Amino acid sequence: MTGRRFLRWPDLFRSPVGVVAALMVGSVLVLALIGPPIWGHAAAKIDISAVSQGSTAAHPLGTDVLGRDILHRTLVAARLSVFLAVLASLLGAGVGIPIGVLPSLVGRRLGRLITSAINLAVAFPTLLLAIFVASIVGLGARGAVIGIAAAVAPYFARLSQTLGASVAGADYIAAARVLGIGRWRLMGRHMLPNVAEPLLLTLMLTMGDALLALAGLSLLGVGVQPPSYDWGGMLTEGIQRIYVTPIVVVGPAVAIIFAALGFNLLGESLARRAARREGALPRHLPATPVVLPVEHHERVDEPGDDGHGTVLDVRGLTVAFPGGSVPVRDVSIRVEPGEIVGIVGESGSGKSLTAMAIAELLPARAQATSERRLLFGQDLASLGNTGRRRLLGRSLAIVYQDPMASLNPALRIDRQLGEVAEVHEGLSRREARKRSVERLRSVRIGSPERRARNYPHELSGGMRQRVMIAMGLMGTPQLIIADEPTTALDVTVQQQILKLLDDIGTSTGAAAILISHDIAVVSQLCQRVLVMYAGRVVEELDIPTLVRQPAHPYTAALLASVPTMESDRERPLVSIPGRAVGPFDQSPGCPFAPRCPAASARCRDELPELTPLESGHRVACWHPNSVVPHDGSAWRDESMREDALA
Amino acid sequence: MTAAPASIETRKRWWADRPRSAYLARRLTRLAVSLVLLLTLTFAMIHLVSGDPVRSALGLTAPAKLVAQRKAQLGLDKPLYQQYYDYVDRAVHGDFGTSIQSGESINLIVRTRLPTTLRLAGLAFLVAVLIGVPLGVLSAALTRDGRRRYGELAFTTTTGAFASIPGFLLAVAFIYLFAVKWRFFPVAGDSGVKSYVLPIAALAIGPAAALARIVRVEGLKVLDADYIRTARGKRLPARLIYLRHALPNMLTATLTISGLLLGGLIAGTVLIESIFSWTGLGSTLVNSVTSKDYPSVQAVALIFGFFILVINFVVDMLLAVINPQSTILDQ
Amino acid sequence: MTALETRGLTVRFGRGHSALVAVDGADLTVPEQSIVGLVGESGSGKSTLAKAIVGLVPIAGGEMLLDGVAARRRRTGHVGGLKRRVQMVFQDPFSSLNPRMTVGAAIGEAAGTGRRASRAVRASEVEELLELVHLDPAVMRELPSRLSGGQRQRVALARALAVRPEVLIADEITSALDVSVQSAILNLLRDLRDRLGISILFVSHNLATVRYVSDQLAVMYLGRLVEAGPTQAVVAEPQHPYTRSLLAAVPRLGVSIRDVATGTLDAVEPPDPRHPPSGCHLHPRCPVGPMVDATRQICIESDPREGADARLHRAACHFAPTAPSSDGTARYELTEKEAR
Repeated sequence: MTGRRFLRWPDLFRSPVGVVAALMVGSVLVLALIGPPIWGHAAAKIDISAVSQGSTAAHPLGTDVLGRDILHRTLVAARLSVFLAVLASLLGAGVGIPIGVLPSLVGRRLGRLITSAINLAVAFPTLLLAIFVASIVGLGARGAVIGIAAAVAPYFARLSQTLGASVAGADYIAAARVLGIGRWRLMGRHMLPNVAEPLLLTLMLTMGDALLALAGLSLLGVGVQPPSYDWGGMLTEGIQRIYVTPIVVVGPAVAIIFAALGFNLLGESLARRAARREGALPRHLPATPVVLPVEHHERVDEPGDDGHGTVLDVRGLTVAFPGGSVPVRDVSIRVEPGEIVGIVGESGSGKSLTAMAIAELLPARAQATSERRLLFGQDLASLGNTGRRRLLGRSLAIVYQDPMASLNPALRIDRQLGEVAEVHEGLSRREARKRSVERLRSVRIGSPERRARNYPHELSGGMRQRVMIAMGLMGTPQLIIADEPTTALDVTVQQQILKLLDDIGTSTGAAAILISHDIAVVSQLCQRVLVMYAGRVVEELDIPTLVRQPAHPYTAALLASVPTMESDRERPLVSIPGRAVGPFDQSPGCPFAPRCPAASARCRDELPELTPLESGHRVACWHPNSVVPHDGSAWRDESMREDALA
Repeated sequence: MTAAPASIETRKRWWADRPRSAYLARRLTRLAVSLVLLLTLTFAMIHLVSGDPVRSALGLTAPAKLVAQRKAQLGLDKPLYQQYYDYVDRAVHGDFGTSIQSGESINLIVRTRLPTTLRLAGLAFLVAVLIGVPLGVLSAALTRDGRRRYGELAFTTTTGAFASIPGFLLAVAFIYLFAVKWRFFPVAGDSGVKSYVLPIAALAIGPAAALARIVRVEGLKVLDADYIRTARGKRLPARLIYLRHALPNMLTATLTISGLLLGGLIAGTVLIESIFSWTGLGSTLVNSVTSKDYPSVQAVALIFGFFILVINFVVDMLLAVINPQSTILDQ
Repeated sequence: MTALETRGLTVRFGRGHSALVAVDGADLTVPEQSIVGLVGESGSGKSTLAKAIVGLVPIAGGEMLLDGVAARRRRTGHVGGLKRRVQMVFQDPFSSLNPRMTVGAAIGEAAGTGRRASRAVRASEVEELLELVHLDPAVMRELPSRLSGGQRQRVALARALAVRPEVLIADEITSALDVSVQSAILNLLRDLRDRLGISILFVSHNLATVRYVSDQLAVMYLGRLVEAGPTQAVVAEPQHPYTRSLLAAVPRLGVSIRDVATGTLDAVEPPDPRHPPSGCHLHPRCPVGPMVDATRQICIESDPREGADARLHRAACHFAPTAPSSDGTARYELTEKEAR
């Protein structure tokens, strides 16, 4: 069952809301079908003796002005009410959807005109539009249906236009065109299935709204006219008698709410299912208690290991999320004053989360535990809230990966910089502004006074990253954490930013942690590197050793698989078969064992600890130095194959 | 002698350096065009009706002389372009024509009844915003990151229920409960403060719930954004993070929705005025539609349409002030 | 001997003063059975050039030749009539496959375009193609959402190869992939070139990757081709100042940032692509240009692409040396070894 069908009806029944909604709509539809044949006769029975009654034993929901039973009439009216609502929705969709598709087919100018007309129509409230159109067409069911259809059509037009544009811009459509796939097949096989689901969902929601709108129009006398009757008409009659026999309102009112709610819930729950399937919404992870891997091994300490005088001393850091995900496992890192330490790893290695944990910026649901966590020689847990905030705000600078997203688009640059000094050092607005201009200058931004008044979107990518660095310099940073600071930048801009970071380190004496997936970048700036894999530190070494003789097979593989300007073009690059284990993995041994050519049985059963090889070089491996770097032959000759689904 | 870079600057259009003025110009143009379109469509209304509009309004038994008289009064015997010109001319001067039924000027009706509708819609809008926005923001702040799962469920269910119950049903329920059964408030009429409570409540509760939902979704998105993480990283006090960093970004979507909401409230007055027997433009509309008094329908359409377009324009202008990036993205 | 060639190819977006000339008169050559790497930073126009070649973006000037024959242009300016001889693989593996089509269906559809083939024949072709890109044929039944990024790119490759193109354009196909997965794809590209004899235009911003995989290297800056030649030669003896700056900026393993020289490229902000500098586009930032040496006014006044044919690597720089030749005429020719 590859699930090629869209809408995935079975999915519906996984959520209670979906089940309820399906039952509601189902019962209404069944009622519409069987109502008139079964109860039509009873609903039409005129009884002069029971005119305009309230609730009685024979007529629990009262009688109308001709003595007809309200309950039966409510059941029978389902057909007309539902039919009209469905008709109006289908009509509106049928008119609106093609109109929305039009702008992409006709020329630009005409297309823009149509778009403006659609936007104008959408701005008008549905009911008003419906009333006006109905007044032109004429009173009665026909006018009401056409009125609602006209009011609903612009929404569909706008939706189909947006959907069409997003799908039309997708790469797979471009690929299909380049492949020479015909226009009709393109529309039918590629565009339509990807557009149909949201449209159908909206249609369902519309049916609910149409039902309500019809009732509203009836209330105004613009709906169904007697002798036909729908729920709206019955409601109108009932309201006129509400002071005398209020019970007669209940039947039609409940029916309307029930049906409308059913349609709305159905549409909404289907939409949520779809969004969740495509990963837009987070899965609701079970609230299981987090089980942190308990590890009782001897930790091999380096001499002089009491943490004083260090900028950062973290021991045994583990980050876990509810549901069993443990993306950072037993990480230890130490940074001396003035040092630049690098953390290298691929996506999913846990390097960014480690940085966020150090910076105390994890999301609330994350749980971080550590044996030791000293920042600037102080245990953060022992400081109060204010103390901790002040220390971190002044002495810790963070540079993030995406400078556009990390700067607030609604605030000017000087505001975002100045507030650091205002809050943590009590500077006045003017003083803070002056300092921010100075800092902008120190990160080599031209015309800093002008730039300070800019908004983030007015700056280039490189400039924004400089702004981020300047933001960190507003205090007196002793530690700079740079999380992939140049990944989003051009290589020439990257060079400038790296130089800037280096200069700042020298001039302020601050230490730094540089996180990156690019080993070359890390090797340019850092003195020491930690290599992370599957949440753990697998090796810790200085740059010369990294280049010459990394001991861990993963480090060696990483070096051999990334092309550098010096790579031998004659030999195929090393590629590591398989995929890394995820954060939910709980296997006992070394996380790299499944992919490692030097793996033994011990590797699969026992987790290797970080042990020193030489001074300043630690490896977590049972067979260090067993793979010669750059030697592709150590790896299975699967340099091009990739495993099928793991 | 150092040479200054002599890169030739090509002549730029005047608006290249002033995106906000360009935005203002574009929006004003759009407003003007929309108003013209509105005038044209409302004018066309009476001519799109099948059959003889005057005759169908006055009834089949009306004397032919009366029908002819009304027709002349409405200018329906003149050529089309002449009628259009007269119509636009009159509209611009605030003259909304004459009623088919009574033969009298509509202007008086409009002048007395418009304030009532504006009052109702305006107050309901204030109530909806003052309830909906803080509720949404609070809910976003309290339930972000998956906190308080049950609170989220309660919020979603309650607001969902209230948002889908139409105003007129609420009105009916309120009348029954608070006016008939418990006699707290008057059943109808628009005199005295007490008579405002039920209509405004019925009109505002649904939109307030819908607004709260949308504000919450926007709020969650904003609170999840990278720049809020930056603000947290700067260790700013929570107050600053919410008020200075989060709120302006939440306002963008909130403002847009509020504009639509106000339009919807104006539409809602139609039903509420009818139910509570208020004499506002809304109930006028209902009477005009049922009695087929097309010039009245035209007039109300024109007035409502005008207000809605102006509201949208104001919202766009406020958006530009709050979120300057939108002026550039607009291109 | 040339599979694909562009002559003076120009792509323009918008009109009048605010027009953006994304590609300005590009003369690109892709020889048979070779991989040509096209590098440039953001705004260089390399992706636009790729899209124009394949007909996704209209051409405002110049022409494209396939196997020596000029390609037709449709009324809208898009290249047409290529009959699937040029195919493209896109950067984002998550949007280049139809989320509602299985892998087998997507590749099969491509294999079946323009010809009648029975279901069985097509199925066996799909299997062959999956083998070609080193994927387990069982993957045929899966939807793209079940595959990793690297696997999706292979599927996209298989789909492109299903129509047996002569030229394959790879637009940043490894940029969105993890480092350890990229190498497999790069190896695969070289393997395809050898096995199928196709030519590949490899577009990327990553110089090290391009250097590894390409036989020829072409560098773009602000819409113009500034240098093109055999990869080894261009990297060892770059003729254009921009190429030199680019090469210098690539992080080298173990080389400290302090040992890397800074040029004036760093000091000046990149120009607005809608209003590029006159003459040589690089002149405000050129480390050996008029900002540094006031006598070099020619860089401001005249387009350095005139006379590029006579220079080594067809460098678009007034001060790049001309190539010496045995008979004294300054012409540059590929030697047999270099052409490979």
